[in-house]
Amino acid sequence: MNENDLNNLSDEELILEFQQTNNERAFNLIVKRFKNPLINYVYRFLGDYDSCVDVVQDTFVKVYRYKDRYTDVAKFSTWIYTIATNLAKTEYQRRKRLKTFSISGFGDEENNYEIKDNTFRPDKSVDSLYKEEQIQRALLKVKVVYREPVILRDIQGMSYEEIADILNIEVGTVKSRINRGRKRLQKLLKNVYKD
Amino acid sequence: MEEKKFENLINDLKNLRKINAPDNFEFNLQTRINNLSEKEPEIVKKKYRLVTTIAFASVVVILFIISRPFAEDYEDPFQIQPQLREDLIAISENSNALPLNDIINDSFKESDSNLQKGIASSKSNLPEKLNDINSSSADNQVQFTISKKDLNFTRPVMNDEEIRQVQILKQKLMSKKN
Repeated sequence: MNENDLNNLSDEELILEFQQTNNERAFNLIVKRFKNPLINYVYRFLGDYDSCVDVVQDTFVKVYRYKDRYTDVAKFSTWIYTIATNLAKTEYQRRKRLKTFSISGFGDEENNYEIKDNTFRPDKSVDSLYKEEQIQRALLKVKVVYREPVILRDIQGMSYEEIADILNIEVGTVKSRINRGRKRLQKLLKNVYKD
Repeated sequence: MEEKKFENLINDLKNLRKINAPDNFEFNLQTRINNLSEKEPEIVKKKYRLVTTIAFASVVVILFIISRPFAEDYEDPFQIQPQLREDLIAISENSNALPLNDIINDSFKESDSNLQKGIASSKSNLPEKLNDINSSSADNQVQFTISKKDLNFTRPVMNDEEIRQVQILKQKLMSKKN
């Protein structure tokens, strides 16, 4: 199967191709499709770029090793997001246990120190940068159970059903958790949303 | 309704800048995967060795626990006396309450009266009772005598007239034979 044919395949067809023929190009294409969405998701969850890159790499390593465990009863995106979520949570717990002090504001809810991210685009206004930092900081203060669905819904743009599958909870629970998460965020960002 | 309440927040969350993977992401990932496939056979070998060792040690420990050949309280399972059944113990206790001789005498009286009446079902429950008694208690050694007459439960009882008729029939048969 040539590169063009592989590009036309869906995510599920790609992983099946990788399962059946061990085609590395199919795996590389999966990495290409999912690396940025996963990095974005895990970064918003952990708030630390290096850790998030490690977690996402681990996610792909697991997909590579345990490719045969995927069955086509679920969407591939659901499967890979579930792996990433579990690894991100494990990393979060590990860091919390070790009480590693992070300058990105990870863990400790009160003492957060900021460093300007040089990767920020210069065309963005100072206000918008400030707001973004405030939102990220507030996200990290929200409990994990509320943070996950809020990120998946409002940042990653997933459906309630997909989130329910990824987090292995009921759709109703997803909705209520998102609502609580948003409320908490709103409260934390009351200075941003004064009006 | 709820969505409108958080409209600004939701918009801001949606418009957060997208974080991308570093340029060397694929290269690093490939390196990790290659390292993994090199390490895997060694890990498998180590695991195999570990499992084998643990299994062998477990078998040795289990065998030692089962046999315990040097233990003072060691009892050979084939030499242990069988446990007494509770129901038999109960009978044994009851047999103390009822004198053994009374049971035997009652049984003989019953069998004698049945014999005299010529009832076909004169088989008394004596043997059953005796067996029960003997098996329930090894200490109760029963000694009694039973005559041949007493054991012949199927012996027909005839009156004089019947005996006379039988004699006549016997003589007729003998004369016909001769």
